[in-house]
Amino acid sequence: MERIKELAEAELIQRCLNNDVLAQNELYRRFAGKMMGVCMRYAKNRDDAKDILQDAFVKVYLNLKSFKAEGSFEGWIKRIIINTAIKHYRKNLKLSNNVDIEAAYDVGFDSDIIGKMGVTELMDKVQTMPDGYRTIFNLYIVEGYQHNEIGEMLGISEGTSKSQLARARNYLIKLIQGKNSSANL
Amino acid sequence: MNTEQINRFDELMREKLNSYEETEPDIDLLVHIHARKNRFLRTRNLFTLIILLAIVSASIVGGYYLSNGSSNQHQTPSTQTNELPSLTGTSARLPVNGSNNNAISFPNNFAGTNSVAGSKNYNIGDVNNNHVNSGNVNPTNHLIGLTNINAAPKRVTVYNPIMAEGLISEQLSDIKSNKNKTTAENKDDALNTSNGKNNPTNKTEKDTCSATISYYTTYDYGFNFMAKTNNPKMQLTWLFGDGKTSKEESPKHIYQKAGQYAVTLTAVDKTTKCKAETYTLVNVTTGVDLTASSISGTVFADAEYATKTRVDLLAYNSITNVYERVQSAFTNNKGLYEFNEIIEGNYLIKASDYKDYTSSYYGNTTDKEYANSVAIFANDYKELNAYDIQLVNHKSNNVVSKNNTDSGSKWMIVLDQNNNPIASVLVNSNGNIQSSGNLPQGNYNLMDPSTGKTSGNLNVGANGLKIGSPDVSAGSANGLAPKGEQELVLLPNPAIDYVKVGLNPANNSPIDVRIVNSQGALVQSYTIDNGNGLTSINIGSLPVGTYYVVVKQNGVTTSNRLVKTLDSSK
Repeated sequence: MERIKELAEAELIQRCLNNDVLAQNELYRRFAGKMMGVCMRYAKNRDDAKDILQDAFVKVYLNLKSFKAEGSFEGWIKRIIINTAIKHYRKNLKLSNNVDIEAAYDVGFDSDIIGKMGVTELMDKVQTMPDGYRTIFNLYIVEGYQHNEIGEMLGISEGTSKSQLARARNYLIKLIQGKNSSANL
Repeated sequence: MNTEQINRFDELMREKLNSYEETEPDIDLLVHIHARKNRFLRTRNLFTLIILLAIVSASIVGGYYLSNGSSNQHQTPSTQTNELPSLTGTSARLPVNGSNNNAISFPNNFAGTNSVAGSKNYNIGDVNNNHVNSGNVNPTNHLIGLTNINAAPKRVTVYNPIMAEGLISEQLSDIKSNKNKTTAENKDDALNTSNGKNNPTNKTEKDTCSATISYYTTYDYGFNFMAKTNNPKMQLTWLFGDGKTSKEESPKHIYQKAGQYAVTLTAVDKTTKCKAETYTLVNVTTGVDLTASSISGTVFADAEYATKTRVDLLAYNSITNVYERVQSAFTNNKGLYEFNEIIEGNYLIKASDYKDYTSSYYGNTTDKEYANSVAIFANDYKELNAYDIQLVNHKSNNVVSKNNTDSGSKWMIVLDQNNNPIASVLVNSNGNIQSSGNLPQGNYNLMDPSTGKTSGNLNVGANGLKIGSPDVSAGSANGLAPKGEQELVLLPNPAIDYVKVGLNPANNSPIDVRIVNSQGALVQSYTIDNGNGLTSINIGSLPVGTYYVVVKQNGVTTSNRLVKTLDSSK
């Protein structure tokens, strides 16, 4: 077991492809923790996050042969996780994206409050966001996708992505600071 | 917030959330993967792998797995089929062997064996879809007996409920078989000679061994090889010529690139050291990217039907001219279904309410995912016609390959006189039809599915829709040019209770408005007496979904897509 933990990534992948069960397990062990973190961000709750992680890892195993060594393996897995997560909430996304966009109103934020906030607590807030907001928030702010890419991924227009992001930000700030927050910086 | 604040906020979020990580991976997740997901797994190897993986995982965490109901995790595929009677995706359409002149044998490991053997009667047809025979599968030996099979070889298809295919008698390809060097027959075979040199250890004059290859191809460009040896205990090794190997008796192989490949079969008898080697050449006309994609979608249905509706994915077989089931899936309790590892092409998707097909839609894997939604409404069964949504797999031999390089090619929906979508055809940028099918003679409107707008028309002559047929055309333009100069205005879109309808430029003539759902069924109609300006139409009673608004003014039809949504304020 010690040895397999020290395997280089490329060799690990190769052994996985050769149906080496120890390697398969090691692959899971290496990435599950981090990817669970990604799932948590996209999911409503921990159970959903687990579901997404399961679905995604099945896809990782099924499609391992199509991984090209050109990019980072972790990035490849993450992309599968994200796609699976989007799919998980897609039905809900459709509805929220079709809702008329009202003008995004301005909310101020207190960087101290947010700066001191614990990660677990923040994750709770993120999971409370509506599915559409949460997905776009993750794709744009955390993952760094552009609005045109997000539009393509979700089947919405670039404009919708932009306005939903603005609303998502405000929504989250209000969630974090509480409704009565008067901070306006 | 100004830009600077926004950037600061985004930065904070990114930093914090990216640092989130679960310290200990949930090993039990893998167990769930197996228990929940095995219907998605396509190959037995992978299936085994996941089980092993679960077991290994369990051992790592010190028996956790075993102490948590391991017996449930070791369900065999046949146990699973109790939950999902009939077909799972895995069991659909396995090849069956016909090794002699009067029986087809189903593999013992046929997932869903329960539904194969038993009292069910199977129709058996030949390669031209002519009925040959019918019979029952013997539950003990998995054989289906055939009579009246005249001449071998013959490829047959066993119809419902399992789509299976097999050879009656052997259809031997260009085979060079050999025996070991102690036999006399192989002296004029070059391959044998070299092979014989490899077997100096064989000393028994009477020990002979032989191996032959036979194969047939299937709709998905798969080559189904079968080894026949004179000794069942021989160890087999296949080299497919593209670097891939197999040790199975009847491996299926799909080539990723077109070309000619030499397939080599080596059979070794470990006891006698007798070794036989043979090869055959196969011509692969179409390579397949197996990494392609998945199709998934939603069945919009009444609650009763949304759960565990069976959804079939069918591909058009240009040889037999019938749609063949590629995979089946059941919807989950949210109405979602998914087909994995789909090769590029066009498919027909059908959903059933346990008894009969009630609805269908087409799928195109270039849409990758979410392309398809199937609607089933309990009181709105739509009888399928023979030509309902005919789609031609554009990789089939019928379709010239130039459409792959013609960037102007487009799949267009064919609308009948009532504006019901009845088929889909590929039109290239010159307006030439690239699809064939059995549409009845007549004039049809073509609709661009990406815009929902009518653009072009299709005239089908007495000979049906055939590629290159002189009496088929997609309109005087290229079939893709917008037809009519008026634009159909729908405001707002998406709409909630009301939608304003009008034509631009407008005139005073009356407008006939029809709203059809995504299955082409008319759900609402309305006549606007004066076509000048926009007219509000109440759509409050329509279910949420996608519709097509088809308007007719002065004999000219224009259509557009309308999305009806929920009122978020309620």
